[in-house]
Amino acid sequence: VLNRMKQKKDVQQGTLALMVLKTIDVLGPLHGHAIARRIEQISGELLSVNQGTLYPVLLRLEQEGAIASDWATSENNRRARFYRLTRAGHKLLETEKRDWEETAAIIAWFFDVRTEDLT
Amino acid sequence: MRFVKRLFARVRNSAVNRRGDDRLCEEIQAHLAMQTEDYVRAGIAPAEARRKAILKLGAVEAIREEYHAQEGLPSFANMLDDLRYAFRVLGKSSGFSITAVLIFALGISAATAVLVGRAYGRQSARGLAFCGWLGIGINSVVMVIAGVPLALAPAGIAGLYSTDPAVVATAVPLILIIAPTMIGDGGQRVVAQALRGSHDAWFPTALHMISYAVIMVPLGWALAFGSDFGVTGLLLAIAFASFASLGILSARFAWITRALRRQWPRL
Repeated sequence: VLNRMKQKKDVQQGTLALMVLKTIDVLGPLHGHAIARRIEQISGELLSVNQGTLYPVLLRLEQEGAIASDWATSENNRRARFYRLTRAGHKLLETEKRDWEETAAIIAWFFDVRTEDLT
Repeated sequence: MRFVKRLFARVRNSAVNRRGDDRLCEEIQAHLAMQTEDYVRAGIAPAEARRKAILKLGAVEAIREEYHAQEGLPSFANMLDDLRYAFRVLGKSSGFSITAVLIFALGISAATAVLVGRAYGRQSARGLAFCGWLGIGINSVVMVIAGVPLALAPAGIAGLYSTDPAVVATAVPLILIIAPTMIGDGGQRVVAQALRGSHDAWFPTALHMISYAVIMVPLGWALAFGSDFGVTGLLLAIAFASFASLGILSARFAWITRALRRQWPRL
């Protein structure tokens, strides 16, 4: 059970990271809260309970060099850390996107396939 | 590549012991404030809005833990802690540690005796010299490794036993003498066994008697009571006797191997 929980968490972290990259890619530099709000609007429940889980993901992406961050002033005159996509992040997003599409296509095909198709 | 980058960042973080705690705190504070504003704008009373924002953020401690786990190298840090603990326990139980180190010397000396004896049996002077000096060399390396912590942190080891600065000050020179003495004391055992393996049983035994009974005890007495060295003098006498017997036994071993080399035809 623990292993399954960990697996699920890894998948969630992976999808979350991908969503973060895509969000910054579309909207430009954003602070953590804006990213969380955006992901929540689109994906619903993934972040609705634990918005805070976003921050370890941001740190990880930054360590990997996919994003970079700086302190800046938010739209409401609040000091916040803004995250932006790096060139490496762009490339990462592209490859991850392709991987996901491939995986999704394979899985979809797998579920669609009927016994008579295999004979 | 990503993995390497990340590992590099982590190693750097744990090396400088950097903690992004302030940064995470500030980010979370800003996050909470913004989420509260969102709720207030949606028509919720400020106090309730703040409460809801906190609930929505999730367990901050869990987030912090995860954050730190990613930031540094937790398993590496744990290993360092374990190592530190191991050294403390070893330092605290000095009797056990010294016995363990001397058992190393005993084991190496027994192996040396067997290998030298085998070389003697097949009349190989070169093999005999090689096995003897190899045993002495390995033993010296082990003793140096064992002595390094003693030589590096004498005050730390003494501090495990007493917080009294006077006691620590007395113990530090003693520990500094013990550290190199292990090389002499362990080494002379190994050479003695190498000699016994070369069919020279009486010389090391006699020399041990001489160096302990005739040199070490009177010298220790003279240094401890005759001059003002005290307990330091006692240890100095042990160190001197050990190194003297190591030197004499080594010279004897060298002499024997040379004699055997002339006596036996080269293989």
